Amino acid sequence: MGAEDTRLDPAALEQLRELGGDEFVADLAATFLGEAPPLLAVLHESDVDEVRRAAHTLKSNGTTFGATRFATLCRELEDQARTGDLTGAPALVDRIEAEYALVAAELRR
Amino acid sequence: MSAAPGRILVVDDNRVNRLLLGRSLEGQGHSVEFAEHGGEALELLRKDRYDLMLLDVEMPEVDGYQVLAEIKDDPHLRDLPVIMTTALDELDSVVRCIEMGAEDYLTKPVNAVLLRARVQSSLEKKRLRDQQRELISKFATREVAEDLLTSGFSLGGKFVEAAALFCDIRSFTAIAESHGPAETIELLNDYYTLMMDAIGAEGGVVNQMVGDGLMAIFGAPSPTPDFRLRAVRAARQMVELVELFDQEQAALGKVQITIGVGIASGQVIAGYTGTQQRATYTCVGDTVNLAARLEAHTKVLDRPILIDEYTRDGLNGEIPLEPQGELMLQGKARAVNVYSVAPGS
Repeated sequence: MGAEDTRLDPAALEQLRELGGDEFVADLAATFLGEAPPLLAVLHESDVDEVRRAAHTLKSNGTTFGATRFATLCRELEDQARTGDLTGAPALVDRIEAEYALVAAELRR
Repeated sequence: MSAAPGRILVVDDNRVNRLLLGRSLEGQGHSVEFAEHGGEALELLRKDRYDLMLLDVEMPEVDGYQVLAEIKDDPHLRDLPVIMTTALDELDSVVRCIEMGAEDYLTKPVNAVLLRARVQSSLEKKRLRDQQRELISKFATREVAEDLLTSGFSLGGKFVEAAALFCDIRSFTAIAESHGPAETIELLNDYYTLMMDAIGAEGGVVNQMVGDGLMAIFGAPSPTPDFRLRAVRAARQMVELVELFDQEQAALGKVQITIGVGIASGQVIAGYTGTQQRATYTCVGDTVNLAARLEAHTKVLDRPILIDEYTRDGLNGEIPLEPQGELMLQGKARAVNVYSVAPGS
């Protein structure tokens, strides 16, 4: 995989490392990976408020780890949920899940 | 530059954010506690003292706005500095929070350098405010101190409806001349303590103390609809406290005192007068002059408490009065109706 295919912004990871070292980054990543699956499941629901909030949290955590593309997709869904209309959301949720798989794989390394 | 560490409450429903903020703040020497939602935050805030709160906007149930609104509504919490933590795409919400009284904001993921700077600045401001409050409370009442701190310090007055009360010790000059300085000061201190208790209990504000005389205001700076009744109740309590004090003094073979109280109500100009370095909350106007004249007139009529007609109108017949007729008072163009109030409470 080339550098441009990297899911995580190295600068963001470096900032986290400066804060607490490798062990802290590993703990933080484990927390994110543990909390993400139930939140991703919520994205399939029909309650716009729940979807918006889950997308918001995923976006926030994505940003923390420099998962820019993932965070951008989550933000799109959050914005859409805010309008109250989730038409077309399932396709977006699919893209979010696919992107998450890549992010998670990279975080586990 | 590194400020003294503070006790910080971090409120965020997102565990990753809590870990991140906690780590950063602890790394900067602060002690940190966490709340996972707004309700828990309010519970902790009411139980414990914190120097600063980092508050997330978007939370289920009780969100950041609601927490902010509640603490700004609570006199015990409203001075707690709050830094909002928010996503970069939510700057609209930041504006709303700042308008609601939040001190500052940080975007997530939080940059450690910015975090340090904003936290230190907020803690420093809080320390200065606490110091200022302590200082102000030494020469002003609690109400005035609160008013000064919430409205910000601005010299400038406004018209308010209030009751002005003047009180002094009869023949104090003679007492001072025939007693030692230590006894005179002790007497004055006892007297002021009693008077301020009675005035403070009715929500009045003592804003002047000169020799044995004092002036108090009811209805300002915090407006109360029953300011006239409160002023008169305070006056009766003052006279009664002095009588009790005299009984103690008599038993100790010490000097006894009597006081005179004058109260007038109406529109006054209230505000801070002085300079930026030294100022006092005061009221001026005809009403204030009338109260001073009534107080002086208590000696002439040999009554402990005299009030004007407008003060009487605010008593709803709850307190026994004795009309003293129309009096031409020194410095007043027209005669005023004067009533004396029976002592006792």
